Amino acid sequence: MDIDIKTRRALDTLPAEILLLIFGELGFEDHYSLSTTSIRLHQFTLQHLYRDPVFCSGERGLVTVRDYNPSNLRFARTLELFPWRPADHSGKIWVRFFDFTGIHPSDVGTSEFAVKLLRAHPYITELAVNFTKYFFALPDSKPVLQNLKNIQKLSFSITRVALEDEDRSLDNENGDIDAIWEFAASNYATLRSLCFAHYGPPDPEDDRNTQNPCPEDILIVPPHIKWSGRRLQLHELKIKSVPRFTEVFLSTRFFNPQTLRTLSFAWTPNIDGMLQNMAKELVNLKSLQLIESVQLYIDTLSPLLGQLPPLDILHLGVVAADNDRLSRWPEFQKKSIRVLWLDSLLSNGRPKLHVFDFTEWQNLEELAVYSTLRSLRQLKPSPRLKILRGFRNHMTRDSLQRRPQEYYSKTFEALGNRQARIRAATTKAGEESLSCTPQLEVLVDGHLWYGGNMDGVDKPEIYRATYTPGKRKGKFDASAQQISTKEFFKLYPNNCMFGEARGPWAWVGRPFPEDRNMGYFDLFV
Amino acid sequence: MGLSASRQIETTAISGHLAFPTTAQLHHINLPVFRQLSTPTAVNMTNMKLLSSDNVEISVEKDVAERSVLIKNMLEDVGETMDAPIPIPNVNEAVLRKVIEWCEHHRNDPPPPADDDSDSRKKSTDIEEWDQKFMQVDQEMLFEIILAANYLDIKPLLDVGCKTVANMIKGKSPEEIRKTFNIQNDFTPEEEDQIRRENEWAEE
Repeated sequence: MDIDIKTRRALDTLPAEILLLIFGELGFEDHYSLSTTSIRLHQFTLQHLYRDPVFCSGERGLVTVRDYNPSNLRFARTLELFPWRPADHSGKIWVRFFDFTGIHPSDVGTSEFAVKLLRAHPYITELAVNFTKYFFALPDSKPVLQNLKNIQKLSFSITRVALEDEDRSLDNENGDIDAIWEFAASNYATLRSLCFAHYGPPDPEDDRNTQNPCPEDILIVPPHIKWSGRRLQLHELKIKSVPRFTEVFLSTRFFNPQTLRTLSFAWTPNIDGMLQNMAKELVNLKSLQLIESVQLYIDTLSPLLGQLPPLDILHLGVVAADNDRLSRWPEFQKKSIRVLWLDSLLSNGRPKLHVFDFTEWQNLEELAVYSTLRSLRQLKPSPRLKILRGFRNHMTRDSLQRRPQEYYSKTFEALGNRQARIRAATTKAGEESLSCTPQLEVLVDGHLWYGGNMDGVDKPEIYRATYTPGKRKGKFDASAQQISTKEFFKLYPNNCMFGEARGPWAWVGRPFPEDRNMGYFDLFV
Repeated sequence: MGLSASRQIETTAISGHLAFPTTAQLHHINLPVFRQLSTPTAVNMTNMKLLSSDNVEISVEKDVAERSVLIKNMLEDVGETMDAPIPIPNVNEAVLRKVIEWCEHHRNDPPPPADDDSDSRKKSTDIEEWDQKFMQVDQEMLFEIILAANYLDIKPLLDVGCKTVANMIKGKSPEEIRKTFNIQNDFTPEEEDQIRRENEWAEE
């Protein structure tokens, strides 16, 4: 058979759709080989090479990361260079130790690893790192940072430590902080997400970072850096434990409030006046988190909320709330907010049988309150409520050990039935009565507090409801089934389960991108 | 009538850059034939003709030709069988005969799963023995079969072709891949240096 083909066709001249089909059959090493053959094939293999780009280092990470998939390391695009530590005594479960408060034996190694990795691969776009003195003590750490020019998401913590005598020579704190902010400023063209936290000297008796307030004398974000013309156009800004932030912002104006969509202040005191002044500029804000940062009581938040655009997510750690005060919030916010977390809804932290009426919150799908679910029998849920979270105390937890399934079924039933009545009550005369199905899907119950060192404390119980029509019309029998956090994340992939922020989207201080918020206990079991 | 029709379509395809005659064209060209065939006395033709890009008519059974989704859809649009050869302007005789050979062997295969993301597509090693032998052709022919399968919309053949090429790539060094597939190294020295630097780190 004669084949009439005049010129020999090369692989890289095949149409794009066929190349993609062929490359879809190959593994990482082959994609890498192909990427070095020609420019066109390099372009087609990039999407395969960067498919799983997250790398972590840490306590056992220096070895683990290499063993995990050593050939992938050169393609790191996102680097999460935080230490890891065991979550319990078994050593089988490991967690990222975001709130690293002191010098850890692994940290020197982690810093060496970080500098080495960043030197070799200056094209990363997302970086999370704990900047310690040991990082900057490495000879070329600052030039390596200066060479990173494509950073889109930067999360870092600065840890102040009490140095041993032999390490005093490392103490160049001001110079180190200048280097970090010069680094951020030099990425102003691409940087869209900035999260930073500062930790003070550790208390050996307590590793919960919030017990280690940073010193008042620290002034992060050096004013002498020229920000004009390099003002950060951020979509997300999260700040934790930065005293004198108002002073910092007023003297630097290092970011443009108008581009922000997410803003979080945690343990960043005395920002009330600045925030009120900034509110009118926050024209694109969708998510706001204020934890221990404002002195405002929940009723006096109204003026601030009135100046902000309609919000999607609001997480407040405030005191002294009751239904009357909540009802005074601006109507447009009540209709807009989809996720509401109220850490200290009750004034003294003890559950009370207050009545909270969310029936006018038309968009509210997720509500988290500092209360037990038992006391939420007094709650009037929003029409679209899907997830209800309660932070309960240990005493309540013990009392529920006996018959939890029955307890949660009754909670679902109570909330579902009440909802049915609400719908019926709002039906206009003459219209057909609605036989509604309860909207509530999931209850999350747990004492979500800091740290992973208290076994089981951070492990919430999650119950999913099943409804069947009851004997009476419009009523439903509810049963509750406990589900794992893994199942929860399948249902709500962008939700957040753990972490000190307890917020709906991220940890404060080490807020990894929201799409990677995972529960500790499902990670490395 | 049939010959003139095929010439007309061929001319259109070349001058108007049409890859395939439209349904309207076929209706217009073959209208008398259709009228004739639609009578009760007409012979139920199970054979049809394809015209390769080098103007060779190839007779093929209709159900074999309908392994091509393109031809199947076109015949369904026309609603009748036709005796005029269907031009396949992108595929020469040699390639077209190979494609028909594959379609004849697989004429009774069940239709492929509709879900493109199914795992069945992604397993590169599971090429049937007959298909493996079928694909033992020189590289130019292999690429032409893939292109023809893509054009004629014969997904299973396209998959087999792509898997065959993927298997030829597996385990090869960049230089071996270049040599095997006639690829010109068009990186600048600076770009090559950059790639080398990335490698050096990983191999420390």
